[in-house]
Amino acid sequence: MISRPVHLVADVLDEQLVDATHRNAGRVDGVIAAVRAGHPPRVVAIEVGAVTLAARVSRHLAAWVARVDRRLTGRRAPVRIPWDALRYRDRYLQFDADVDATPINALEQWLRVRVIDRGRR
Amino acid sequence: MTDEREIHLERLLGRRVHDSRGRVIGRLEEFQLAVVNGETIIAEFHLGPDALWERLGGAALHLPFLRALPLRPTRKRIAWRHMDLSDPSYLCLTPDAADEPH
Amino acid sequence: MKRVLQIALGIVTSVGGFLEIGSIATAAQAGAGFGYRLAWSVVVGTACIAFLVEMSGRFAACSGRTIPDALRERFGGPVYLAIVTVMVCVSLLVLGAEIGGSAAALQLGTGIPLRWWVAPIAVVAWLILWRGTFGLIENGVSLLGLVTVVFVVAAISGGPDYGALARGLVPRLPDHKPAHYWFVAVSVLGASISPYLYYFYSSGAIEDKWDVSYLGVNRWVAGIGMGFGGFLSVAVLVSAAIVLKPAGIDVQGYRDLSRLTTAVLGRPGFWLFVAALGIACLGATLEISLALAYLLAQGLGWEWGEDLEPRRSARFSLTYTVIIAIGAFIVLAGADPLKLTNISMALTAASLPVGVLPFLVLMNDRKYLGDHTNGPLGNAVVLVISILAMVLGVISIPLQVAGS
Repeated sequence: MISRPVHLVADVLDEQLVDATHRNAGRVDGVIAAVRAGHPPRVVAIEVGAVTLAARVSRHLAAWVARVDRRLTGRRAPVRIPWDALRYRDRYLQFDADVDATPINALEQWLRVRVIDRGRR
Repeated sequence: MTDEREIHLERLLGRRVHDSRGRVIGRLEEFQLAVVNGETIIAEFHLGPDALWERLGGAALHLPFLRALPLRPTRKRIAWRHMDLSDPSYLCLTPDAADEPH
Repeated sequence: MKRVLQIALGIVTSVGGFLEIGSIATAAQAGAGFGYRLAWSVVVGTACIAFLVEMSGRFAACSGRTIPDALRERFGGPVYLAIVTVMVCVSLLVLGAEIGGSAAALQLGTGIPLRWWVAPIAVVAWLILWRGTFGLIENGVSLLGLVTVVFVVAAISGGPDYGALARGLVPRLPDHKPAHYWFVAVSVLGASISPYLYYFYSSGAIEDKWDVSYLGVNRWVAGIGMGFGGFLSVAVLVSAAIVLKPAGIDVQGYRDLSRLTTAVLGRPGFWLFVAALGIACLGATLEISLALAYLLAQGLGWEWGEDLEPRRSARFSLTYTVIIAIGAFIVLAGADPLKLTNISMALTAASLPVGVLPFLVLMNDRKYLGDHTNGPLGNAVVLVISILAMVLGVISIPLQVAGS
C-alpha cells in the first residue's frame, strides 16, 4: 500500500503503472474515491484504460471508445486496481500481479493472438 | 447500511468551486492525500485560478525568463470537511466553511 | 575509446540521417527561387534542431524518461492527447511525403510510375521495423544515408559564389515574391525542426540505455552531427542556386531535383541522386513511423521498444504498422508528393510551439533534470525560433495557398 502522504495529481494521476514483473501495465487514467457524509473521502481504487482517459476529454468520446473497446476485448467496464494493492517502485506505481492475468492487457493479448500469431501461421 | 457513493476524482479537476454565496473562488487543481488509520483519505483540496493554467502556463512560470514576472497565481487549500461533494458537477463549500479559506 | 567510437558513430548516423525529402525539396526550392538569399533559414533551422536534439538526449539521460512519457506525467492526459493529435496529423502528412519521395526515387531510376512503388516501399519499411532492431535502423540505414554527401560534392564542384553564400547567411528581406519567399523560409524551418526527430532521439537514448555519463557524447553527436547535416542542406541550396536559378527552373518535380547532381557530375550524379533520395526518404519513413508509435505507446503506458519482438509489444508494433499504411494511403489517394512535402513542412513549422513549448517547460524542471536544466541560450534560441516559425507559418501558408 502507498503509505506516505502524496499529492494525487502530481504523484499518482497519469503515472506509469507496472506489474509484479515490472512490465508496463498502462497509466493511472483515473482515481476513484468513496464519499460518505461526515467522513473524509476515501481513495479506493485507480482506473486504467482508454475509456477512463477519454472520459476526461468528453463523454461522447468515452462512449465511442467504450463501444470499440467492448467489441475488441469484451470488456464491459474500465479496469480497476484497488488502492491497497499499489506501491511505489522507483518512479513507477506497481501492483502485485502479472498484467496478462488482468483485463488491462486484453487488447494487447487480442492483437497478439488474433493478428500477430495468426499472421505468422 | 453505509450511504457511500463513488466519484471519479480526475473528472473533478479544473471544475469551478463556489462559496456559499455562489461566487467562484477557484478551480480544483490538486488533492492532498493523507493516511489515517490505515486508510488513504483526501485531507485537502487545493484550488488555483485555473487548473489547466497550472499544468500549462503555471508550469511555464518555471522558465527562467518568466520567473521574474509578478505572476504568482494564488492558491487556496480547503479542508475535506469544507468541500461539498454531493453534486460533482457543482462543487461548493459547505455552509460552515469560512468565506475566505486559507 | 568506446565513447570516442560512440561519438563518431553518432555523428556519422546523424549526418546520414539528416537529409530527407523535406530538407532536400525545400532547400532546392530556396536555391532555385532566391539563389543564396535563404541560406540563413537553413542555418537557423539547423541551430534550432541541434539544440532540441541535444536537449532531448540530455532529458532522457538525466531523467530516465522519454519526452512523451514526461509529457503525459507532467501535463496530464487531456493535454497530452491534444499534443498527440496535432503531432500525429502533421507527421502523417510528412510521412506521406517521405514514402512518396522514396517511390519517386525508384520512379526516376526505373521509369515505372511512382504509384506502383508506394506499396513495396511501405512493405519494406514495415519489414525493417518488424524484424529489425533499433541498432539496425539507427546505424545501418543512417550509414547508408551517407550517400547524401553527393550533394556536397556537387555543390563544391559547381563552383559556388562563396561571397553571395556568406551574405545569404544573414537574414534579410526578399527582393521579389515576398509571400513565396517567406513560405519557402517557413518550409525550410519546418523541414529542419521536425518534432518527430527529438521524440525519436529521446526514445533512442532510452533504448540505448543512456545515463548522465552520456551527456558529453550527446553534446558532440547533437552539435556536430546536426551541424554537418545542416551543411548538407546548405549544399543542396547551393547546388540549386548554381544549376536551377540561372536557368529559371522552378522545382516542379523530382526530375528537377535530380539536376542538382546530374548537371555537375553527369550520369553517375544521377544514380547517386536516386540512391540518396531513396535511402534518405526510407530512413525518414522509419524514423517518423517509430517516433509516432513511441509517442502513443509511451504516453498511454504500453509495452514498447524496437528491440522487443512484436508479439511482446503488440499495440506498439501494430501502431507503426497502421501509421505506415496511412502514410502510403495518403500518396495512393493521389496527393502530389512534392506539393505534400511543401505543405507538410510549412504546417510542421506553424505547429512547432505545440510540441516545443511543453518540451521547454520539461527542460527547465529540476524534478527531471536536477542540475542539468537548460541554460538561457538554449531556452532563448528554441523559444524565439519556434514562435517565429509559427508566426511566419500562420501568415505565409494562406498567402501561398491563395497565390497558387
